[in-house]
Amino acid sequence: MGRVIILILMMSSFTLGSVGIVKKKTGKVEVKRKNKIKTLHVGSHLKNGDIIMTKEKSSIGITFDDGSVISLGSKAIFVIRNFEVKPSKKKYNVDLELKKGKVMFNSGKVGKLAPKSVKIRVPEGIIGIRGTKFVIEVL
Amino acid sequence: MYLKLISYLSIGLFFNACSPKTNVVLLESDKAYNSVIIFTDKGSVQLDKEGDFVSLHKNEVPSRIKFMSKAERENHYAILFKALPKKPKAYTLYFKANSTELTQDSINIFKKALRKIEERSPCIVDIIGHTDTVGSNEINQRVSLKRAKYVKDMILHTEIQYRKPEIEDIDAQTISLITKGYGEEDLLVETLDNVPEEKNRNVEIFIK
Repeated sequence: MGRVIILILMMSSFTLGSVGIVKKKTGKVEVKRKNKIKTLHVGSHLKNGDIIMTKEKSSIGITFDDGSVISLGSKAIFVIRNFEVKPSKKKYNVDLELKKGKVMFNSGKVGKLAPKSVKIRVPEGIIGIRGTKFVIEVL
Repeated sequence: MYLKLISYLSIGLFFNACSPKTNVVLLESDKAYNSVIIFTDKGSVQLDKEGDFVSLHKNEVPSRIKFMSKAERENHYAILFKALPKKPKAYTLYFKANSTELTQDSINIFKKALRKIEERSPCIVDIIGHTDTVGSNEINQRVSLKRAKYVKDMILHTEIQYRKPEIEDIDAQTISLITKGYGEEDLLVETLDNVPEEKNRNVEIFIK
């Protein structure tokens, strides 16, 4: 039913600098990138510096480059300050920030290769991981 | 019904009585290591058991570690559990000795991977080459990338089909294929340097 053949696009401009992809979404979710606001959809790519904002009764699920997955609940503000997991260059730096709302995080390869390079900032401090699935809520 | 009532009472207790600013809850995990360390200006705390739960207030030491049951977590964070993407699926392909030809088993695994790519689209597919620890890091890096590109070409020579998603607002109905060479950096079987290990000479198809 409704099967179509598609062409495979490789490394086209929108995947350059991509650190993750939107896999699930309900309601309305926006991203602030270089002072412009854009609506996110399933399949949208995310970049370093993106500020993700979920509206009321909305949620989003994102898979990052290394296989880490996160979900955000409604009225959340989440910043991808930096997401860099490059085993070929031994470069690991994951710097995320939850300003408001709830996030669930399940770590991917970085949890195995360089857990200490992960930080998630919240208003009261910093959360570090050791290969983990957890929830944070900023009330 | 009974579970719901319990969690409702607990949430009242946890969240109203002490009006926390930020809560951190450790969830169940399939990994060997499962813990978080929380640093604030006033001190740090480590959570390492499933259900461990802590509240943070500005300019205060973190609360003592409390416990949130599985039922409470599933209830209170139902939306997050539902929105969380499936973990990526990894398929590992092995090569015949001194060859770029896949083993018979790996050909079947390759076909399974193609079906998974269709199912997961729109998706990003990393094709990651790995080597064993024989030889220099630089050469292994190059060899691993070569293996990855070979598998990418294999994928490009097949017709990938995908089920048109029912969601209307799809941004990019595409599959991005990205090749990477990890060399000997992320070994499947941990070995010392200069150890031949056929299981480490592989290409991983990592479907996100």
